[in-house]
This record gives sequence, C-alpha cells and structure tokens, in this order.
Amino acid sequence: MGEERFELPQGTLDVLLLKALGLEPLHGWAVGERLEQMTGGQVRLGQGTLYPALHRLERKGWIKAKWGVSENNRKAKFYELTRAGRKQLETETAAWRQLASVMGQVLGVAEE
Amino acid sequence: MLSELWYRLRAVVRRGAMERELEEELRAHAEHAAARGRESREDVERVKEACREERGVWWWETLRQDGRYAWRQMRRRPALAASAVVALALGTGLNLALFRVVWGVMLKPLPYAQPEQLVELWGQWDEKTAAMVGQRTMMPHQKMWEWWEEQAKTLSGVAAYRVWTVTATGPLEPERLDTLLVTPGYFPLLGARPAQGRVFTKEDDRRGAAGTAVVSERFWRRVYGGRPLSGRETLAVDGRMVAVIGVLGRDEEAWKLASEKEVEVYLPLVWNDAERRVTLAFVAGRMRPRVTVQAAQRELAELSRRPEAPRGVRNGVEVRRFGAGNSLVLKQALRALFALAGCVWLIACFSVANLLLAQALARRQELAIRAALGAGRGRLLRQLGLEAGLLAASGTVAGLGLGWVAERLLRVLGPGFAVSWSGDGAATMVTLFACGLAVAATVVVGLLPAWVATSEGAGLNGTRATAGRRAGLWTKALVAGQVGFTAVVLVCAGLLLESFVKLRAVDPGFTRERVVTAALDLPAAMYPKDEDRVKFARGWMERVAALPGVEMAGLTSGVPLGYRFTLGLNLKIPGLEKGAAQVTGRTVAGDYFRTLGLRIKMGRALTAEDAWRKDVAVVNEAYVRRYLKGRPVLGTVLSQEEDTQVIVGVAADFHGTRLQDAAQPEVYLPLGAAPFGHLEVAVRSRLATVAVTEMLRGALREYDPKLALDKTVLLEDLVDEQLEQPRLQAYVVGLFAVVALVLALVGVYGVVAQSVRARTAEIGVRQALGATKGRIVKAVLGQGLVAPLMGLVVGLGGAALGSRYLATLLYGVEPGDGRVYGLCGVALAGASLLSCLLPARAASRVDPARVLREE
Repeated sequence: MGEERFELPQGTLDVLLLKALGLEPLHGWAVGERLEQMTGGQVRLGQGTLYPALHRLERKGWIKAKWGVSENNRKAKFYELTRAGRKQLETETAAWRQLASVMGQVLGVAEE
Repeated sequence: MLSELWYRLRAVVRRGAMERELEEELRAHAEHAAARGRESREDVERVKEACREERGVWWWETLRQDGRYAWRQMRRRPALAASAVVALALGTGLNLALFRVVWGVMLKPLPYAQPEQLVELWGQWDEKTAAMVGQRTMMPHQKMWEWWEEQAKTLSGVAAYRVWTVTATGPLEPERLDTLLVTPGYFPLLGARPAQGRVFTKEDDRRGAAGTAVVSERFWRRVYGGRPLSGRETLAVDGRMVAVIGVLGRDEEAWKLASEKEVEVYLPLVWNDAERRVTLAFVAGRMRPRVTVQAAQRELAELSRRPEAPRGVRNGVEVRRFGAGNSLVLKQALRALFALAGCVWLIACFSVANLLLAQALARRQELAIRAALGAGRGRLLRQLGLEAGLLAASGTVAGLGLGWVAERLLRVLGPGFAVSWSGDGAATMVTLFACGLAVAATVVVGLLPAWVATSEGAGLNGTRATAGRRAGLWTKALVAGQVGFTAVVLVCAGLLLESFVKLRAVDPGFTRERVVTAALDLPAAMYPKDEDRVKFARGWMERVAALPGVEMAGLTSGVPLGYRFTLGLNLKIPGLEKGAAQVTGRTVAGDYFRTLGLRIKMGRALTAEDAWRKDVAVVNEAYVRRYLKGRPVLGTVLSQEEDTQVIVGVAADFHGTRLQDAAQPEVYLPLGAAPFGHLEVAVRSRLATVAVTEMLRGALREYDPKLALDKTVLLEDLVDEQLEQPRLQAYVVGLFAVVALVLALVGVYGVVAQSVRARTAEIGVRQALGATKGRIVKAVLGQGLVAPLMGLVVGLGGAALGSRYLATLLYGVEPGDGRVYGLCGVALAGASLLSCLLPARAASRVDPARVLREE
C-alpha cells in the first residue's frame, strides 16, 4: 500500500531533528520514532536520510553524541542538543513561525 | 566554523574508529527496527557512503587514494624515480646551501630592538672635497650630532659611537681590547638596561670626568669572577684608571651597533679626545613610530639649511636605513650566485619534466580509459600533479640533506664569508624555503606533462602522432632551455674563474713570504710627547732587530693592503699651481724597505739611519706620475705645514688598499718626522710564526710591561684574504657549472636515446632499404642537435645580457669577453654532440632483420 509521504523541503530536516532532540537525548532509531510521533506519522525517515543528517548536525556542532545503553539493553549512540544547537533551534523556530504566519495570511488558510 | 574544522580534523584522524562506530550504530538501528517489527530494507553501504560525505572528509579520502596510486607508480619505475630525485636533489641542495648564506648576510633581521626604526646619519662633503676624496659621505663630528639630537623631531634619539682599540691592564695581563666609545644616548637608543649598576650619563661624557666604563657580562665573569658589582672595581685602560659602573646583560649582540667587532668594554666618547682635536664618530638614530626614512631625511635636510646650523651640517645630511651599506660587494656576489643557483634548479626541473612527459605519453592509454570511466580532467590532473608532487617532495628532502653537506663544504672553503653560522632562525627559514621550492618544482615539473597527457587528442581516439608531435615540441623546448641555462652558468663560471686567476697573478709590489707583522699602540697618557714616542720606537726597533732568527725588521705606521693605519698628508709643492694635495703617507723606520722587498726605481730607499731624521722622503711612482710630470724628481722639496722633506728616492708602486685597485700616490716619511702612536713591526724570519710571536711578545714585556701586542698577521695572509671572495665565487659557480653541465647533457642524451628507441622500427626499415650506417648516424645527430644548438645560441645571448650584473665582481675581464664565450660555446656544443653521438651509434647498430621480424 503506498504511503502518503510528505515531501520535505530542503533545509527543513535539520530543524525537525533539532526539535525532536529538544527534550532529551535520543539514539538514532528513537529520533526517527519521535519524529513520526510528532508529525502524526507523516514523516518517516529511512536510514539513508536520517543518519547522514544526524552526522551533518554533529559536524555543525549543534548536537553531540555519546554512547549509552538503550531501553532494550543495547549499546547505542545517543544524540543531544548542544547550547549552540538550542540557540539554532530557537532562531529557526522564530523564523518558521514568521514564515508560516506570512504565508498563512497571503494564502488565506482558513482555520479548520 | 572553528569547531567544524576541528570536527573535520578529528574525523580524519579517527577514521578507523568512526567507521566502526557507524557500523555499530547502523546495526543498532536495524535491531531496534526488528524489535518493532519493521524491517530495514536499506542498502547499508550507501548509507555509510552518505554519512562519510556528510562528515566532510571525502577530499581526504580521495587524496589518500591518489597518493597510494602515485606511490605505486613510482615503485613501478624505480629508475625514473631515482633519476628524478637525484636531479632535483642536486638542484635544490645548491639553492638551499646558498639560501642559508643569503639569509645570514642579507635577510636576517638585525638583532636590535625594533631594528626597522634605526637609521644611520652621515654628513656630506662640499663639492670640491667630495671630488678629491672620491665620495660624498663623511663621518659626522660632534657639533653635528649634538645639533641633530637637539633639533630633530622625527627622531626619538641620537647616539654616536666608534670602535677604539685600547690596551687594558689592571686586573688583567696587558691585553688589546676592542672597545666602543659611546655617547650617553647610546644605551637608551638601543633600549639596553644594565643587569647591574648603571650606564653613562651626561656627567660621564664630560672632559675631565672621572673615568667610567660599562662592561659586558662575559668580560665581568672573566675578569672579576662574576661577583656582584660593588662600585669599587676598576680597570686600567691605556694607562688611566676607570671605574666599572655597569654590567650589561646576556644578549650582547643587541647592544653592539658595530657588529663586526667583539666588544666587551664600553667607554664614554670623550675618551678619545686626548688623541684628536676633532671628534668624529658614527651616528645612529631611532625614528619615532610611523616615521619613514624619507620623512627623516626631509626633516634633517631642512634643518641643515637653517642659518644657525653648525658648519659641517650645512653641506647636507644623508639618512640611511641602518646596515644598508654593509657588505655591499658580498651582497652583490650573493645575488649573482643565487640567480645562477636558480638556473641550475630550473635545469634540474626541466630534466624531470622531460622524464615525466615521456612517461605521461606512455600512459596515454591508461589515462584515456580512466577518463572514459568518468574521471574528469581535473581529477586526472590532480592525480598526475600528485605524482609530480611526490617526486618533487622526495627530491627536495634529499636536497635538504645535500644542502647540509654543501653548507659544511662552504664553511671550509670560505670561512670569511662573514656569516653567523649558528641558529638564528635559519633552520626554520631554510625549511620554509625548501617547501616553497618543492611546491614550485611540482608546478614546473608536473604541470606540463599533466596538461599534455590529458589534452584533447591524447585520448584513445586521438592518434599517437598528434599527441606525440606536440609532446615532441615541448621536449625539444625543454632541452633547449636546459642547454641555454647551462650556457649562462658556464659563461659566468668562466668569467669568474678568469677573474680569480688574473687577480692571483697580480704582483702586490712587495715580497710576502716569511714576513710577520704585529701592531701596538702607544697610549697618549703614557707617551704624551713626540720625543717619548721616538725614544720608544728607537728602543723597540733595536730590540726587535737583535732577536735571534730575525733576518730583517722594520717599523711602519701601517703595512700594505686592507684599511691599515695611514696618514693623510697635506702637501704643498712649490712651483705647482695645484696648491695643496691630500696624499697618503706612511712612516717607516729600520730596514722596512728591505724587509718588505719594496723595489726602488730611482735614487735610494729610506735606511735605518734615516729613520730618526725629519728631512727626507721617498715617493712612489704613482706620485711621480700624478704630481711631478716633467719635473725633476730627486731633490724636489715636499712641504707640509711645519716641515719640509727632500725626495731622495722613488719606490715601485704597490697596490694599496685592495689588490684590484690601482696604486695611489704615496709618500714614505721617516718615523722621526711624524711619530704617531700606532706602530706596526714587520719581521722577516725563517722561524715559525708562533716562535716569532712569542719572541716579540717577550721583548715587549721586557721593554714596557704595560703594553700589549695585537694579533700577529702574516703578510701572506693579508694577500690571501683579498683573494678569498674571488676564489670562493669561482669555485662555487664552477660547481654550479659542472652540475648544470651534467644535468643538461644527461637530459640531451636521454631525449635522443628515447627518440631512437621509439623509432627503432623506422630505423630498421630505412636500413633495410639501403641507408648506410653513416647516414643513420647523421640523421639522428641532425635531429638531436637542433634543440641543444638553438638553446646554446639563446643561452649565450642571455649570458651576454646577464653577465653585466657580474661586472663589479670581475677583475681584468670584461663581461663581454669574447674568448670566454667562444670557449664555452664550443665546449657545450661539443659536449652536446657527444651526448647525441652515443644513441646515434646505437641507432646505427640496429639490426634491420630483427626489427622487421618483430613488426
């Protein structure tokens, strides 16, 4: 059965991942799960998208990684936000909110 | 940004660990997915690849790959790699050794605090005197620097200093010391603070002040045992007592503006007032921050035009960057040598470029396949560039080793190359320079072959002919370039060699074998009057002549060659319109003329009996030529201010200051006529120098234990000193020429041999069709010699232009000397012919039958 996959515009993946890690450190699989939760199943990332993105965020210094033990007693690499990452999240969120409001006004999105 | 860089660096260093972590992470993901019942259907390898890309180190990965490939290539052709490395090592090594010297003499920053602010201040002669003396600048006198110090706003300080040799006793055995006489502003100018005690104040520099001295830490340790300064330590200098008031700290070089001398004691400038009426000194100034030399020059020039300026200042002033005028001839020589070393380096690079070009052509197929498989031209160029870079780096490293050896050799051949050989940051600079050379070599050596090999028409579809033809042209051009540069180096070597030979053959005008000289100074405090000095000289002469083993001995105010002590005499010649002339004079006593073997052309020499008279003189031929043309010589009266002398003889010319210079008019006076305090004794003896020195020292100690003898110098060595730089130049450039010749000839041989190899089939066919061996040889020669001969012609032309820069280094040879050019041209042409002959003969021995069978 074909799944309705939401097309993510460029550059949005980063902010989504940062938000997913906003509460607590998570390992790779858990991040994907949390993102699915948060988007009500509309965004499901495969390994090929998730891990390169995580590594990119790590390189940019917005998240840092630490090895730990997951819920099913398995060694896993946990990621958490750095201070710079938190700042980046705030900045991006504000920017997105503004964009959303502008777009909403212009395109006349009706409240449902 | 920085943290990103750091991440990338860590990713490079921890590659292995990161790979394992990634593997682990992806496996964990798969397990988590499985635990939730979701199969992960992704290609793990592609995920890994994507992650690696995100880590931003792909450039490093490709570099490593290319590097490994380049290394394999090198190992596959060891002969090629070895010859490339050797050629580059030779070229680089010479450059590095020379750079070491250039750094020490020309580029190294001066050891003083903020040396770029320091300037030299010089006065200028008026037009007439300048014409007579032969130069514009003059040493400033006291009124002048006091005026500058007072008035100049662009300078934060002015100080005067001069070197003065004294005899020190007191706590020491009598010893000759080089001291620096300085004004109170000297130490503040250099920012020198004493480690103990104080430095000079205006009070110390007054006439009649109690004698004071500042000493170096080394002197303090040597003479006073390094104990703390108590203020009661004294030193006897030229018979006067001085108190040691300060000790300078460790860094001696930073206090010493007169860099050539070992100075351990500093005295106030007023010290030398006893000897001269006018105090002349070198003057240094420090410019205020952000002031330029031109601005200082303008201000001082303007100051000199003011009506209240002291007399000497009004003729003008010259402000120079400190140290700019030092060792001018040496700097010129170094520049020329460096340029020639660069030529040799280029020759080496061209050799390697040719090698790589040939190799690149041979690999055309391989490169075409890679191109077809998707490697862009950029990637291929990078690959070839890396291979070239590997060779260049290896060659440069080998060159560093060779350069180290060459430097040791240089030290042995030319100790007077006046460079501080130790430390001073040279190692870093040389390494940096080596890196620069390696990069440049990569470009020169790699660019051309890479370009040609990856160009259009080099692909599988391009014919061998087109690519081969273009490469062939470049090869010929490179060979021509090699031979051309070799011609330049060869010609320069020839000119310098001939120069040296001619200089060595110059007759200095005196006999130099077995003559030992030693100087001493009679301090004014101990020998204040003329009669005292004459009395001393008489006694000293008697004692020296009486020493065992001494065949002949004489005294003089200064032996020939080098800037020795000579008198400037103002002589009036009655009957001549020219008025007074400044003539160089020497005083002599004892058997001076015979000891030095000076020849007499007319009349007689000054003998031992004449020494204490005041009324006779001997002139040299140059004097006669200049001032006594057409007049009777013997019996002419020379007059100075007080006395007159009668000319009793004419001596043969000898070269005065330098071997290269023509003889100047000179006058010999008896010691009795002008007894100055500086006496040099010349002794001819069969005994060893050490023995003679000991005897002289002993005799002086008996005669006056408060005096000390300077270092003894052999007259022979004085002459040799003059030959040192020309000899070194000739040898070094000779070495360059040999290396260049070998490289170029090997290059020519290689190219012709390669071409013969590539055309073996063609040669075989031609032979089968009836061509004789002779014709084959001629054909190969004809083709092979075109490039070298063209290069030779251009090279000789270039040498003619470039050798003009050598003009100041040459003696007895013109930069355009036809003989040297002709010889070099013939030699190089002949050598090229020989290099082509060997492969040509090999070509003629090709067996046509075998070739045809192989076809």
